[in-house]
Parts: sequence; structure tokens; C-alpha cells
Amino acid sequence: MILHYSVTHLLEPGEGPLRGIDPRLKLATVFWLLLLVVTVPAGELPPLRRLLSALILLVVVSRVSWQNLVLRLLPLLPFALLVLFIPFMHGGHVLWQLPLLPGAGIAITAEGVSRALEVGARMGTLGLALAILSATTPAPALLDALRAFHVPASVVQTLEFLFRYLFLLLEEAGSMRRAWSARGGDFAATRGIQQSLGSLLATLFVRTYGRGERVLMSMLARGYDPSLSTRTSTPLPRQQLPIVFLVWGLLAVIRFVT
Amino acid sequence: MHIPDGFIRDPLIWGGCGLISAITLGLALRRTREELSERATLMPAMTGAFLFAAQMFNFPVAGGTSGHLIGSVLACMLLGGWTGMLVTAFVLIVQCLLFQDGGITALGANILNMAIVGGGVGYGIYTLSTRFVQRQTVRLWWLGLAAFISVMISATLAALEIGLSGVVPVGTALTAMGLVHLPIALAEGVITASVVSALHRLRPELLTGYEQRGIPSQVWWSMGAAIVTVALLAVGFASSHPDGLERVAETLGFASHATAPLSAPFPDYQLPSQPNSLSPLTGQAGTEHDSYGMRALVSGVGLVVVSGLLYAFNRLMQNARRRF
Repeated sequence: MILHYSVTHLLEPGEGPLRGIDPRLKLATVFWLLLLVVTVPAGELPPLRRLLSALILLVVVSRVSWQNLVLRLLPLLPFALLVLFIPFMHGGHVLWQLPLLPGAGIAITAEGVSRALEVGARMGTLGLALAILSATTPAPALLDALRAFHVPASVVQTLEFLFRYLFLLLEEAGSMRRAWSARGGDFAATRGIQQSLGSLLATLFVRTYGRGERVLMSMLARGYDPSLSTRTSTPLPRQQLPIVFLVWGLLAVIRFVT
Repeated sequence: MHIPDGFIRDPLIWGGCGLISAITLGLALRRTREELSERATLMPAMTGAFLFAAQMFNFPVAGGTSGHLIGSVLACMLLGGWTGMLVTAFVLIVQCLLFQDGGITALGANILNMAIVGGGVGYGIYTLSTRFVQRQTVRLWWLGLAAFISVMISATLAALEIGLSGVVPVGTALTAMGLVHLPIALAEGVITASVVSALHRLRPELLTGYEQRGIPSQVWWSMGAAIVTVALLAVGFASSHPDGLERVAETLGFASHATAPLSAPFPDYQLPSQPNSLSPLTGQAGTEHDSYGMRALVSGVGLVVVSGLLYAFNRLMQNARRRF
């Protein structure tokens, strides 16, 4: 997990033309793109390449900061590096033999290259789409948009609470970690780590639970009823619909027209 | 283990995993409806946030890289079977939607691997001990073993899904994922047991799933989901490798009795006299390459290189943070 409490402020969505688009429409656009990507048959590269290029263009148009985008795409880094080794892992027509060990048979094959490009393009397109979505939409609005897709209210509510307390607990975990390090604790030392980490996490959970109980009591004291929704559904902004439909059409053209 | 988009190429596999996950989560929501409304969804959400924060504590594993807790068995210990499974799934959904950790097409597979099968089977293994073992130390060792097995099962399922999608060979995927996750699973076992041990001393009443007697219904469901997934993967594999029957026939010795009613135009999919085409890189005639040993070696070298790069990157980030 790359996320760290000191970098979380960099993940806040910035301003830009996509910020004002209704989150429900943005989420629907991601689902539309998902549909277009998954209907590309295995081994067919050109549509994936075109869709990835369109997404890169969208990054430029949306004016999302590169810092934000790079941080968001960091979890994909290990897999992106692994993609570089896929060309070596498939049998088939040899394109290039490793010169250092000519007898060993380590080779890049045409099948491997094609498989790696396809995996990279699918991963890049959908990863980038999700990154743009979350980099241009505040997380609570994005989670709230799930209601429009008939995700059960209890699920959305739990996700909202989870997100609400996530950063608080990250701060708390970070301060506990700093305090532990200040008292000579060392996470690089394997010996004894299990006991110290175990106690640290147990304490964190006890604090979490205590905080949860206090918050719940105060919510109930103020008349909170989980069955009542605090949000009212607003109609979709009509002036944005033509733009979104135009984007959907363009994506379909990019996917299907050669 | 958060599989990104593209690594499960076959729609049958990611779609099937998504369907099994959706049905299981639907059932889990029904089973926990009362609990979720009583506790106003806040305590499960707080536990989910705790799991998320706990994943921030990286610990050193072999090869200079670091790993972190997955926490699916721990979630079941804290909240009981069904709720623990749900909360782990919620953490995975938030990680996918808001932090791009795990792909959206692979979300069903990730939930199935880690929350449903990993958590459920691990919790099931633990509950086997509760009826017979009274000594806390033995029970904690057993819990550690359960958490270890849960990570290894999740990694195996993920490797099968990636391998049978044709992204990397199945054997290579299984070997690589097994090797990478072995130290992580060991750490998961040790840390899960030590967190539960510490909580048992501090606040035993918070461990909802610890005193579970007998195997809960959720475990049977998780095992069923695992069996259905493996069957689905086997069907996918058989349909993409139709020579399986041929292999069985050869093994059983009746292959020689088989006669072709008509002579096939391209027996075994080979063109009659297809010359090796020229390589676009070297301009020389290419050769066929299919060495399993070398592919496994390359994947091993690849993993070492990737681990090294990630370790260097991690150190770089730590140094940058210290300076900051």
C-alpha cells in the first residue's frame, strides 16, 4: 500500500473542466468505457491502442495534475514492471534471443510481445480512467453516485463511513508509528516485530472501537436513524447530457471504426 | 495480490468471479442486515478503516521488499464470519474505486480471492480448533496457521485466474505467486495471531469471531464458492485447450484406436508446409520457442528485478520523506 498519511493531501481532486460534471455521468462513462474495452477480442490490439490514446488526450484536457495522477497510478507500478517480462514467458516465434546466454533459450517471442502489449493497454486504459475519475471527483460525491446505480443504501453508507474515518485512522496510525520509532522501535528489524506490531495494531483497534462507540452514541443522541437517508436525489443536469453523450459516441467511434 | 485490469483477460473468468462475488455479498448483506442496522453501519465501517490503516504498516519480507497485512481472517475474528467478509470486500471496493489498487474488471476476482475464499476458508480452519482446543497458546498457533493458509489460497486462486487467462503460463504464475506470497503469508499468520493475542488480553469482548463454536454457515458458502471457481477455471481451461481428451486417450491407451473419418486439411492446426517467417527485429528466420524451464527462470529473474526496483523506490521515497 503506497498510501501514506503525509501524501494524502496530494490526492485531493483539483479544479478542471471535468470537476463540474455530475459524478453519476462520470461513473456511467467509466462503465461505458469498461464495456468498450472488455468487448475487444483477445489478441486485437488496435482498438485498445486507440482507446488508450484517447484517455491520454483526456488527461491533457482535464488538466489533472501529473503529480496527482502518478501518485494514483503507483499501485499499478509492480504490475507495469511485470508486464515487461511477459514477452519472455511465452512459447512461439522467436523475435530476439538473449545474447548473453545464447544456448539457454531465453527469448522474446512474437506471441509474448502481443500478449504484453494487450495486457498493458487494458491495464493502462481502465487504470487511467479510474484515476481520472477519482482525481476529478470528491470521494464522498463519487460514493454517493453509487446510489444512482442501485447499490444498497447500507453498502453506500458503510463505504461513506469507511472513507470518513480512514484518514483519521491513518493520522492516528502515523502518530503511533512515529511515537514507537521515537522510543527505539524499528520496522526494519525482523526480530520481535510480530509482538510489537501486534500490540500496536491491537491498541489501534481498541482506540478505533472507542472512537466508533463515542461517535455512534453522539449520533444516536442527536436522533440519527440509519433507515432514513440524509441525501435527496437531484435530477441529472440536462445541459451536461449532450456533452456526455457526445463523449460516449466518440469513444464508440474510436473503438469500432478502423 | 490486488489484480489490476488486463491481467485476467478471459471474460468468462472475471465475469464468473464477479457473479460469484456479487451473489455471495448479496447473501452476506441479507445475513447481516440486522447487525448492520443495529450498529448503524458505523462499527463495521470503522473496522474497515482500521484494516486499511493497518495495511499502512509495512514489514520487511525476503528479498529486500516489504509486505503488509491483508487482514481477511483478522476481520472475521473481529466481526464474525459474514460481517468480516463484507468489511474486507468493502475495503477492496474503496481501494479499487478511490485509490486504483486493483482493477475494476478484476474487482470480483479480488473480492472472491481475498474476502470470500481467503477469509472464509481461513476462518473455517480456525473454527475447527475452537471445539477441541482449550489452551489459548495452541489456539493462537492454529489461528496463525489459518491466516497463513488463507493468504496462500488467495494467491493460488489469483495465480490460476491470471494463468488460465493466458497472460502468463499457469505453472509460472503458480510458482511466482507462491514464492512471492510465502513470506507475506508467514507474516500474516504471525501478525494476525499476535494482534488477536494482544486484543484477548486487552479487550476480549471485542473479538466477536474468536469464541465461535463449530463451523459457521459462511465458511461452507466460502468453500462452495472456491469449488465453483475452480470448476469454472477448469471449464475455461478445457475449452481453451481442446487437446485434453486426446491426452486422456493417450494415457489410457485407446488413442491408437481412434480413426479420422475424413483427412483433416490442417492436422493439429499446423499448415502443411509453412516456412518460418522472418523476424521483424533481426530480419532472420525465426524459430519456434517453447521452453518451460527457461520461462520459469525468466519469471524468477523478473520477480527479483521488480522486487529490487520496488525496494529502491521505497527507499527513495523514505529518504525524500525524511528530508521533507
